[in-house]
Amino acid sequence: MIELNYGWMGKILRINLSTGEISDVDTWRYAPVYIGGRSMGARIYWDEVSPDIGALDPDNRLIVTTGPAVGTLAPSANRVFFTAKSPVPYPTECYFYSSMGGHWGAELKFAGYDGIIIQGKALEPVYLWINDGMAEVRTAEHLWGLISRDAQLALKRWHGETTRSVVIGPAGENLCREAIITSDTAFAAGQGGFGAVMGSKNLKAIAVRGSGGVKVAKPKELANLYQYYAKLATCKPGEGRQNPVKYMSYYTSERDSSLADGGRDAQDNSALGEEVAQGLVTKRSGGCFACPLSCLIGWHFKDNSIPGGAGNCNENKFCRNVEHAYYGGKTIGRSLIGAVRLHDDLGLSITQTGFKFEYEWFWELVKAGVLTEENTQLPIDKIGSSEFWHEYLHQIAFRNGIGALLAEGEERFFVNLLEMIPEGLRQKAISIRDRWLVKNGSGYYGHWGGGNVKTALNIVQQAVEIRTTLQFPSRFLDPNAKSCYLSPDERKETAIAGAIKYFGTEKVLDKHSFDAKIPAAIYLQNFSFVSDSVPYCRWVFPKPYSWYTLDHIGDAAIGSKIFSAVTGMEMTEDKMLTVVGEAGWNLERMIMVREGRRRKNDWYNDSVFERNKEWLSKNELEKAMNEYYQARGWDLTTGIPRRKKLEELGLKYLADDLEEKHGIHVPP
Amino acid sequence: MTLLVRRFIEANDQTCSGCRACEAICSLFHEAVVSTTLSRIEVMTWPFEGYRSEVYACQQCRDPDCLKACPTGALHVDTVTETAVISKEYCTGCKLCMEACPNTHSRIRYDAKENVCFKCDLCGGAALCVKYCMEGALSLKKVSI
Repeated sequence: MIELNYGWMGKILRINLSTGEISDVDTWRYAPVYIGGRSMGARIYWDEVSPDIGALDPDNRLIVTTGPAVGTLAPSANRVFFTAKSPVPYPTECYFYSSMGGHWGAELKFAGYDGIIIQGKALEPVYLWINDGMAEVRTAEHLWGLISRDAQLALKRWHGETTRSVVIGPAGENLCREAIITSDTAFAAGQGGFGAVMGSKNLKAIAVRGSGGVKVAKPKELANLYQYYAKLATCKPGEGRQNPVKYMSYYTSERDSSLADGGRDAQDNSALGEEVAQGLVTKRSGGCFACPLSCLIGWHFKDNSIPGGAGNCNENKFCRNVEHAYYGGKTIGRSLIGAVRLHDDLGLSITQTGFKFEYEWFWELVKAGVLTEENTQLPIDKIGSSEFWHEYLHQIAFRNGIGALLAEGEERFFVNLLEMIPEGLRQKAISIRDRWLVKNGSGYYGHWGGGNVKTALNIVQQAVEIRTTLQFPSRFLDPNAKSCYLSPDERKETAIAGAIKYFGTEKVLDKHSFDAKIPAAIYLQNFSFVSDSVPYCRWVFPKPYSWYTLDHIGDAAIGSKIFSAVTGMEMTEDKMLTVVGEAGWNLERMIMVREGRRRKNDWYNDSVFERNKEWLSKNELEKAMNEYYQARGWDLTTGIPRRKKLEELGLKYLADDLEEKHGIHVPP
Repeated sequence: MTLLVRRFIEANDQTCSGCRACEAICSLFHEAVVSTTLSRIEVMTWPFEGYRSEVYACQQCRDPDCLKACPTGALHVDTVTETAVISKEYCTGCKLCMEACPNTHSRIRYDAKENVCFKCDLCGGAALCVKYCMEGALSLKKVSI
């Protein structure tokens, strides 16, 4: 018999903040079928969050799940997943998940828990203190109102230097719909606005310290896997370890790679390049638990003008165009880094609040005269400067001025804006909105504002998603993408060999036809579900291509290998893709169906067709989607998974529940 | 007893990213469980100071104070690997060795569950933390005396 206590800790903490009740839930109610992370979160969500609950209602659950691999030596397996009904999607709040790396998930497992289910609402601000199998709800009167850094430092003072906590900043307290949950600095569950969910429960922080350990079934195998994947991810044969961040951008353009260089080299051209050269700032790498890459770039200003922190390459380069416009083409590191720091402190999401600038729509609204100094109360003429960032972010976090609207999230912002502005400007605002907010029909949002939806594969993948698709294929499968390491010919060869290895055909490389894209999309979706459930970092792994091997082909089957080594259960990659990936994907779909999503919602607004008009027609996409639903075993007209498919995957209860409790017919 | 060859783990705090893979492999090798409290090597990180890290690894002193402080002889020199190690069966958990350690942050740690002290034994010479540090912050140093 297989011993079940390898990998999992065996219990999940349940806290009812309304009653103060604390209890343990057996992990075996869900595991090992729902192994952890996204899949366990979705399963608990199905059981506990009914469709009529609002995101900021006390009855909404904040479900925190780790997985069997978290807190072991498994490479990059340190992620912790948050699942809840999210306040962000418009018009209907719906199921969402978000994850973060760092050390908090591992600490939670060392403290004896696989996850936490938080429900109810505390009467006054509280925080949760978890220490070696004991949990306590304590008053947070001294923490409430603090920025996330100060709150964490206070918790470290009270509970010991090695305490790790997840906290919300003022943005979460003020129920900004895009508020984040953050840990240390730069580790954050940024999507879905779960900071607001935490804030709505009057929960400021969850502090954890654990002295226990996670048992591993096959320590030697796991140790070897770590070495193997670390080399695959970071080394060149004969040359040893490369700059890992640069290495990661192996497939990206030269522009990206020079920026991604980040803090590793003193003479870099990233945000802080000049100041590092002058010796004003020290930079160093920082990493999540047991990650072979350590992609974070930590900074420390010697004059302490900006508190120390960290970010990754994306954050260190964001919104540069707006900054250049203000500073006359120059990169002012302090301005950027200060903005990153402020996002962390206030508990706002850089991708949401920050990339709004990257995508320029806020700026465009200003240029079009829709937003002015009077109606925003912001120093509009200083847009792109540190001062502007400071004002802008504080307004959002504290809901002052235009911030009150921005705090409602992009979609709701535009709805309110259109009511606020005079008739003559409305058309301008609408055209800007449609250009920048590319959504699926029902308002589920894409991580990068939908800008990514430009290849056939991505369009199919994204159509049925609630958030970002798995990123790796879009770059890796582009044989014409510039690479900073490979010659164009080598690049092409690698792309073709990889396509044949992973998808069985070269046809997936054709960006603008739906040929062979449906099986590829399904594979990638199932794959992403596996990586989120084991869970390991989607940014670092998989490594379908690698510098370490002579043919530059890597090994994507990391999930099943880690899982087997940690838990001792035999698992092949194919089986994993079905029992975890496909089953999980169907479970998520059923959750969305229960919340009202149908096939008509798996569609795009017209700007996507406009943008890709050279090759994309509505008819063709319709046909491709037909093929997709057929391959998935879902109903063609409604997009509801068929009973036959669900039973095949051992998910009969989903169909039964949906019919009996919610009166929604599940096609046979 | 003094050692003829001093072998120890040297840490470069500047290169360390604070990922704690060293702690994970250390406890996995010695205790068959991943636990940062059971690891012989320790890493402390200050995220709000730009991820400043400090690594605490036993320096295998040439004339170890901990060795002299041990009242039971549990702490002894392994003549094969030439390192000071602790035998679990003779350790009484008195922590005198921890107090004797000349470093401000003692390199010897205490396991409350088993009531024993434990310290770095260089994995019998393999020094796995060095091998598993992907940042290259750790190195195995050998000094002839």
